[in-house]
Amino acid sequence: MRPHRALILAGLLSTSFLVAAPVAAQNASGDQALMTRIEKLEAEVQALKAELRKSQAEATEAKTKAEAATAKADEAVAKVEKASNGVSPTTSALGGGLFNYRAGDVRFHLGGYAGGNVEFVDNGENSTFADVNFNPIFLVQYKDWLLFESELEFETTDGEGTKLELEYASLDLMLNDYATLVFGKYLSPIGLFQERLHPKWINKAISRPVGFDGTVEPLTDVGLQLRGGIPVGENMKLTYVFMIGNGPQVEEEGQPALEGFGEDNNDNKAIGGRISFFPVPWLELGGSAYHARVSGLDELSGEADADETGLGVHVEAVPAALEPTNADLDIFGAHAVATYKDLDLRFEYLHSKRDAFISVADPGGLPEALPTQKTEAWYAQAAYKLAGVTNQEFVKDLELVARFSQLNVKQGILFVDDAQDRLTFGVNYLLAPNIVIKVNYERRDFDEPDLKTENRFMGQFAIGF
Amino acid sequence: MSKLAWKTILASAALGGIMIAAPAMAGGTNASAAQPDPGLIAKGAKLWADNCGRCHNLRPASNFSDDGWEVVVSHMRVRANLPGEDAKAIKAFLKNSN
Repeated sequence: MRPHRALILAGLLSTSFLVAAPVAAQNASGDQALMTRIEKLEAEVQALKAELRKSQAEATEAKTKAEAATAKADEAVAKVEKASNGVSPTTSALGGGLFNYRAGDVRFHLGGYAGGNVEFVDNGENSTFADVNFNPIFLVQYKDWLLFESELEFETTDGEGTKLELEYASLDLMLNDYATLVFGKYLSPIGLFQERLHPKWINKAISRPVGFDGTVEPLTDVGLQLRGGIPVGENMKLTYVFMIGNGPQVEEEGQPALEGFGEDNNDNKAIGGRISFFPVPWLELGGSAYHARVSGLDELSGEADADETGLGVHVEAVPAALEPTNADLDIFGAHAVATYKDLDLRFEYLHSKRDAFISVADPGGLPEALPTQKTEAWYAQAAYKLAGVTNQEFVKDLELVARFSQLNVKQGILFVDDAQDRLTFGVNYLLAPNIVIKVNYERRDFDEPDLKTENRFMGQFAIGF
Repeated sequence: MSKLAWKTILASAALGGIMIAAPAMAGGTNASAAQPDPGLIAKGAKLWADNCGRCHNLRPASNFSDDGWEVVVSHMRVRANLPGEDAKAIKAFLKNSN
């Protein structure tokens, strides 16, 4: 049996080898696949870890940004609360406009302003209640690109009765973020006072700066404007207004009335504009320019019939040498405004030149030669809200105002009696941001030697709504 | 100014206005009050303080309703020459705070 055993053993061994060889080979290849899979999984884990770290970093960054935005919002709201004289934006105050209405895409808002004065003058004039006005403002908006705006003025006159005027009425087409086309009657953009500051509740003093009342600064015009604002970099801004309008017409004394006329009497349009630059949000620097042509009249419109007066001034009756002529009227100016915290500083300068021309100057009179007229007006004004230095009841609602304005006649015969230095001091009590009681002292020193210096004490109540 | 010159300016302004306005009008929105983001509100608060306070005392947001502010700020956008984006941010702040 031994040889058989040996043979059986040998057979078993060889069979084992034969069977084991491929299994061993199979195990080696399985390990390799396993290793590859493990390496792949490790790589995936590393990638996931990296992604997790990135997400955590992004979350931290987002949190930081959110905290910064919240802090910025808190700071802005605090600034607003302080700037609004301590009245929180969420607290109630008298306002709300007179009426709001919405129908689909159309919104209507009725707001406006009103006020009245009391004046005491030491020149022998009676003390008087004066200049009571009510100015409703109508706003109609279609979607977010069309706005109709109009203001009426009801105002008491020196005599009996009430004056009613259309201050402005315009259709504003918002072309894009940077341009709006305005068509209609509008407040003159020449200078700043008339367009932005003349409502009683906005004007820091009671009177207007001398000359900024249609004497040098135009009041209104009828025509077109292209206007808007363009951001420059992060914090700077440029604003512009370009206008074309019917322009002024000659009235009594040969004075061009710088107001919007419903028709152009000489087919020469007035053009002008204003540009402002804001190097920082609290500072505005800019200038205005205006060119128009006024035509001399052969008779003053609305005056007595020439045939009835016997002083006929129809063209055919006027000697050739005194036929009415045209004159250029040019205005230019500069302005600077700084509104920093509770301090408000303003400066404006305007210069006007009208060439010599021939026109009727007096009702019923004949055309006469009117000399060149050069006039300039300027003012500097400072206002400070005491809320910036105290929280004391009543005192914190006071605002101190000082203004110096001047009207100079450099050449010509018009406005000679109006040329003056006007010094104004005032205290305003703000019952609310849009309701104010003002008390002013004003000294008017006239250039004309025959005119006595005036001391005026004035009070005013004004509200915007 | 000569007749031809102003007529040219007028025609150019009108033509330019129509060309620029056409896409704006076509894409005009209903000025609907979509929920503004906090960043826009913060920007609006700062712009409100910077711009509105330049001429007059700041009116509290509670003075007007959303519809009231929509129209009043549009009015002031024209008067104060505000860029459209600034007016939008100011509206967002006021409507969110009233």
